[in-house]
Amino acid sequence: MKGKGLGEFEELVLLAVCILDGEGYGVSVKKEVEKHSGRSILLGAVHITLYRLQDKGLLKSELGGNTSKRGDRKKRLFQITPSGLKQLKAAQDVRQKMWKLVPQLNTGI
Amino acid sequence: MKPETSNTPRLVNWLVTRFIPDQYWDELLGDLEEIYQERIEIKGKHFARFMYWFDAFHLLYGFSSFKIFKTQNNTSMLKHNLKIVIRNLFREASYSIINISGLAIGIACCIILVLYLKSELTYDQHFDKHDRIYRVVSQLNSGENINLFAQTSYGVGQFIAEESGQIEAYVRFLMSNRGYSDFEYNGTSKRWDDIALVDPNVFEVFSHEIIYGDPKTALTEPKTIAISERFSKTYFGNENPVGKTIKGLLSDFKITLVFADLPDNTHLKYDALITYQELPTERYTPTNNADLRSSLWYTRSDYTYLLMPKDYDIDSFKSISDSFFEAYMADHPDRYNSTVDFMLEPLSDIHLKSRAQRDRPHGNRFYVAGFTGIAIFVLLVACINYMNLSTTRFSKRTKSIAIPKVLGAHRHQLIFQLLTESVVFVIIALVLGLGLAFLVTNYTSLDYLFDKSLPFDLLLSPTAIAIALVGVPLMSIVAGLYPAMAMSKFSLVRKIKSKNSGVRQGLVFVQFLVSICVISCTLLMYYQMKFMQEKSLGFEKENKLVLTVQGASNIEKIPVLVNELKSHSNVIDATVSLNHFGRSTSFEQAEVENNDGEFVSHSYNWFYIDENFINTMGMELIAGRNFDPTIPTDANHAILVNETLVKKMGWERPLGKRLRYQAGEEPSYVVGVMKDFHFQGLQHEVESMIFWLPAPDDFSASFWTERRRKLTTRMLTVNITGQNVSETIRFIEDKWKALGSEHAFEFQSLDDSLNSQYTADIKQMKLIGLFAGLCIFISCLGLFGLTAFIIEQRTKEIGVRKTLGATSAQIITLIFKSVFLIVGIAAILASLLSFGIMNKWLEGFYYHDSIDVKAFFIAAFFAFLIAFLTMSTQSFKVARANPVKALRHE
Repeated sequence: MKGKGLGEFEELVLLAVCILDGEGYGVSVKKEVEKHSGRSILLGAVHITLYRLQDKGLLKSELGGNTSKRGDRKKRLFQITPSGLKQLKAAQDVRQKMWKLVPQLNTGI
Repeated sequence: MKPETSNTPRLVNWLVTRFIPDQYWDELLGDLEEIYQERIEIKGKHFARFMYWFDAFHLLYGFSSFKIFKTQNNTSMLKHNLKIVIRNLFREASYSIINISGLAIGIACCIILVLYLKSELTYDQHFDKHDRIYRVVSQLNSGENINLFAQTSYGVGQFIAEESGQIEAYVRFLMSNRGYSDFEYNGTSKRWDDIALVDPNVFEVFSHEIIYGDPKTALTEPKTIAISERFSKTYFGNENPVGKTIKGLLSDFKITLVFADLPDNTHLKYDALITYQELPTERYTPTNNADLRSSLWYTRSDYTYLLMPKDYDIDSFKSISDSFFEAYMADHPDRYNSTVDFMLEPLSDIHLKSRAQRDRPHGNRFYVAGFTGIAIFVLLVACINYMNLSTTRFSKRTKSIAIPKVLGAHRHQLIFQLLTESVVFVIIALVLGLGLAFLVTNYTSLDYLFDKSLPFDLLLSPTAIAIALVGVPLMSIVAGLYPAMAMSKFSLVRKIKSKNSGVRQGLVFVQFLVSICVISCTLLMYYQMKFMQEKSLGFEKENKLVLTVQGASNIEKIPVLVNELKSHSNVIDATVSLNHFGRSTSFEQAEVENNDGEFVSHSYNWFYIDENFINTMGMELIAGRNFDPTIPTDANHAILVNETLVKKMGWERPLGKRLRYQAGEEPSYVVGVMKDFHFQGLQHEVESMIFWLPAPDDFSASFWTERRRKLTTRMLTVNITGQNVSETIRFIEDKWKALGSEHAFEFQSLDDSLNSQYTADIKQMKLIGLFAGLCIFISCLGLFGLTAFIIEQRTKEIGVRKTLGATSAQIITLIFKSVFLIVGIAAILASLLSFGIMNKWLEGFYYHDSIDVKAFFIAAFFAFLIAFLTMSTQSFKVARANPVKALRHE
């Protein structure tokens, strides 16, 4: 997965940011990923991934509004960049192509 | 931008702000807090807090692998320093091992001693109300004799409580081994030494950990018994025994309660408690009659504990004692002008501070002080040692210290680097020391020497952990700061010269001072123990067998038995007495005639013997005659006294002097005077002693109830020749069994039971010897370091001297001279110090050896020898080496 490829978790986080559409920050992304994948995820993992994706230029961020629930602290809201979207699509395309090549086995699906 | 808000864990917040780049932590904390609030609602505060920690550390960990981790100098320097430490650790492996092991041994010793001290200093504090419980002791003042007794009459508790009105409760403990020692259940039979008869409110005053049963009602019914877990396991395994009946010697008892075994650090140990109602009613609930009043003067059988109001002032008990004495005791006809003061001893002080006589064995403040001293010394010696070795190590690294300086390193950075090393070493040593202490306390017989088990879990208490957390940095600083300062200080131009060895020589001096001191103290203790075991006691303690004969029917058979025993060639003689000689005597006061024919009050020990006693024991009669059973007036009216009594009374002609309990009564006459002998341990002064010849037992008299007949005991002391001992003992056992006695054949050797008085001292001596050895060992390590240092410093000098023609011998003298001077001065000072300490220790023994100067010489010689051996390996090497090598050095 060196270079431009996306890790599985990175892909999930990117997708979550897309779904949240501008409302994605640490806690909301964590919840979104947990909701869809059904596994429990550590906050730290989400944060590290978000920052790493930002470093790669796949996400951009700005500091957003604060709520009292957060002890009056700012949150960093993430948004997907065009190159991030391209990467997601590319990953999706690879899968689609490969799925098509899988013989239609009678597995009952 | 306040780093902390609301009630999230502050430490975590601080860590996050410290280690996560400034532009990020605010949002991270915000996220953490948001989740925290939600978790509180869902799963509660504890879970939320725990997860907060967990998440935060995960974040920190995540950031550390991420390139935006705060790249500040101190962290990277720390990494660098640690790397250097690890490299040096392995490069100078032998030094590292010596250094760490010295420190680890020191720490292990210290830990073990701290465990011991903790146990010793927290006696009886496991009882919830320990700060309100006091033991009543009674002081009998008769003439010049003042005696303090740990036990009192059974009536004291109740009537002193009635008299004062302040006392909330009283509990009596009657420690009994007669009649309540053997218990049998379902074929299992065992003898127990520590069984007490106790008031039913015992569990209200003394908190016990209850396993089964109800403490409120446990001992309120007659014939009930509360047993310890150990007692229960012996008979019932893991079953709940409450409600079952166990068979005692006199009757059956119903088990009503099981309590957890008492911890080791309690002064009054018992395996089972029997209700006090077992005793006759006049003892259980005494009424104010003549019997009670007489018992207040004469009976000292019970340990009485009082529960007082909070913050009670002990001194105000004096007035209670006085008014009690006036009301109940002052008018007694047998008072003989004596007075009695009752005093209180706080429960937790009994073990170390009580001075009462006739008490259970208890601790000794001298040893507690001694062990505290040793613990501090061992750690001190270990630290000093560490300082010496470290300085040596550092001095070899001149270059690695000088180059950073050239490149502009600040002095504090160098100190920081060297301190890192000592912190790492101290942590490694601490871990090793803990491991060592754990192994020693769990897998060696050290418990035996300490006379108690030292549960290692004590270390897991919060205070211990706090001490460790403070101790590591403290020790690192103590041990590491000097070397670090010294090494970082010197300027580049000036090489390390032997100038800073002054401090180091001082340190070696202290080490030797402590070591020599400890060795000579150990030796002197050994001499005293030997002195006590060898000193003539005034009677022959060797080859005496003491048999306990219980029950009237057995006692009646004694004359027959003695006759049969005497038929054996190895049995010389036998004598019957009421008590075990050397273990207990009775104490009382009466009126004794003085030189002028007036009766004055005197208190003394007394003992019932028969006419064979003096011969069998090998005692000496210096005036008058022995008892003669053919003279009818001898029984109960003839007395033998010891020299001390004669001296105390100032008698010029002791024979024929009279003793009486009250005026008008027919007095007893002194018929003989015995040479003084030591009936108590040599710690104690010989006291006045009187022997009586009892009237022959008439067990058919009405006094002898069934119960009394069963409980009464006599001691049969048999004198044997010492040849074929085991065969002789078997012979005695056969004869014993042939008589059809229902009690098992039990005997003790008088020698052993007398020596048991010194066991505690012998054990302490062994312990101190052990720690002395360790002290010396650690000091040797230090000396090893110092020698290495000296040689290192003088390599060139030695090379030059050799080139100019010095012999190996001259070189060795050169090296040894300075160290021997230090050891010599240390030896002199240490001798003076230990002389002072041991003088104080010997005061605890009434009969003691004078201090033998030999001990100081042996200790000093030993120190020199060790110094020589430690240094010789290194110095011979240098002295013999080719000078070219030395000159090329550096």
